[in-house]
Amino acid sequence: MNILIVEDDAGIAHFLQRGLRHHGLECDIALSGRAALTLLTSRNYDAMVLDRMMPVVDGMEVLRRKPGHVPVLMLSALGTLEDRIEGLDAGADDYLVKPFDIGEVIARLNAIGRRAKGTDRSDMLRAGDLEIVLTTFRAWRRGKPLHLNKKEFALLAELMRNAGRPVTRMMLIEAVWGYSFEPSTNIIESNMSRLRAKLTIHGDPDPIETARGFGYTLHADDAA
Amino acid sequence: MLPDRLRPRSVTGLAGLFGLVCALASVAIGMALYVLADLSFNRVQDARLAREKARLLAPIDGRAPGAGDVAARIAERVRRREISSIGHRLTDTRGTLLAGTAELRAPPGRDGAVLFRQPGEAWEAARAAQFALADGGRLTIVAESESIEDLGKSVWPLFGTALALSAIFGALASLLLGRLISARLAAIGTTANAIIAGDYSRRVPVDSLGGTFAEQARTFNRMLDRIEALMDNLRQVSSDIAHDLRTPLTRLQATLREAAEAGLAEEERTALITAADRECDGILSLFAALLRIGEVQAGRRRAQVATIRLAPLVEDVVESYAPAFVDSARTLRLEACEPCFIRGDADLFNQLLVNLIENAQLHTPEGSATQVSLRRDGASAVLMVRDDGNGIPASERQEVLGRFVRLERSRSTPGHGLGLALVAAIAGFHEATVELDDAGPGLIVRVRFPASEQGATF
Repeated sequence: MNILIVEDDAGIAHFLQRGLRHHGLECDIALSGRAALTLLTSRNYDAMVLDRMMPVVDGMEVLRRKPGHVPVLMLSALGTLEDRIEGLDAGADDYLVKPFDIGEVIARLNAIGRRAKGTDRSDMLRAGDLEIVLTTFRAWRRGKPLHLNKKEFALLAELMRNAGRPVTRMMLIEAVWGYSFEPSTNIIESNMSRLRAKLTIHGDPDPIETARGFGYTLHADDAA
Repeated sequence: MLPDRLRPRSVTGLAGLFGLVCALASVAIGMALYVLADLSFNRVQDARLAREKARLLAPIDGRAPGAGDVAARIAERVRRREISSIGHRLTDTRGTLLAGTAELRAPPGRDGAVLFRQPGEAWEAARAAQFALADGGRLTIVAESESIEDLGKSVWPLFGTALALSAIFGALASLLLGRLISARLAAIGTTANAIIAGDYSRRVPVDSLGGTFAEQARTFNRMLDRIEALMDNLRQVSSDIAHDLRTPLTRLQATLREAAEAGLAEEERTALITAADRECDGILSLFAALLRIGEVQAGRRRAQVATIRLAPLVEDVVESYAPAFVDSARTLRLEACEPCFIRGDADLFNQLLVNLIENAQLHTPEGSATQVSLRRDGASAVLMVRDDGNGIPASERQEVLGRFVRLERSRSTPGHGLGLALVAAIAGFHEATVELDDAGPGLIVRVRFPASEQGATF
């Protein structure tokens, strides 16, 4: 993936670049909104990390003026719901409040990059030996039905949408619970352990890998 | 609306404009009265002329009277003095004057209006009518307009006096009105200036009797209350941040300095850096909670308010937390869940319930049972979280509730200790009340929301 980092703080920009390169993502840096608009016309990027608050041409204006359909992950110190809604309304695909974890940025870039390609529009999701139908809340492993409750089903669906890539705790809270706040008790772990128990009930191996304190990855290939 | 440059810029200007409009209205009324009176007098005169004509030209034995007959009738009427203020002029075909002494002058434009005089008298305004006789003679009848002229003479000075009086009183009333409004505005101005100078407690005086000015003053004062509350909130948040961040920041600094010391074993250093990282997480979540409270109290979430169905939200939160309770050797159960609607922000409601449930989990011993219920009680939707833990002693319950308001918090509890302050802020946002009660043993938290009707869609 080829990423454009738009951030006026050189320190943060280089921290991001190091982190993304370490995870095998190519990236360029634009230190101003204007530089970003110039780069966007000369190269094709798979996604863009965009700082909201920059002098002269700010992130919101870059969103309005950017050419084409580059998916955007907006970074901002402004974290109220109002700010998020404003950013997402202006055309950002996801919104992350500073300070951020580099893993969170990568997981979200992967998610929006994938979403932009529009591959999972279908009602049915498949990952390895798992199959779910979103509208009827039904799930199968190796053709055997799984009896999941609403939360377990939503967790599995979110993991399957991002199969093979890590999904962070915050992404799960947003996608499964729809909370704009992060609960302090570990409701994710407890619900995830119920889901895992149901996935392995017939003696199949656990397809979910835990990255402690960070998130989860559903491995689809090894079972297939 | 008037264009900007024509709008009065001061109260005096406004009052002056008012006075001018009143004076112009008086003049217009006077002129209308005059025109109407003139019309009605003319009608009376025309009726007199018609009657006179009917008398003089009445048929004699079934034929129209000739000039001679009319002359005789006129002479008869003059002799009997039956016809005051009516004059005649009768001529035959050749223009010879047969009867009457009235002299006429060319009409000055208006239909029927002429000037006439009797021999030896001055010219006077009159109305005239002309008729052709059967034998070719011409009869002119003239009615003096003396009476209307006299009336005019007496009405004009009266009207002038009335106009002058109304202008004087109008000017006085305008001036008084101007003074009164200026005084009201000055009171608001004085208050505003005091507030600019930093005295946020100042308010505009409100008339005890009510009325428009009192209503306006009250609205203005409510706005000032809101501003003061926001300022207080800002001060509170700033001092909270300063106060609450200092401790963890000091700890963080100490940890980092220790980690930077020479001669540490690698695993010791790693442990210290991990501790510093955890401290940072704590600071960030404290920061998020403070900002969230500020966001809620400042009313920045109004846009998200809608009619929300509480039952599914409560079911969802309880269902999500039940496994977490089981994992920590406690139980969480949904005791009752009646259909209720409120006007509110679903995300904030979730956070309120999550905070109460997390509180119950944190502050009860293992093996405790927590029950959640949602019930409709008259005009309220009552959310209740009840545990069988140690509860809060009655003497301190009031104090804990007080802490909600003052945002002070117990420092011995795990977490950032802002959970209940956030609950109070969210309840306040929804105009809900929070009650703490004894569950004997345990704690009951009741949040009473004003219920909304199911049919409402906004």
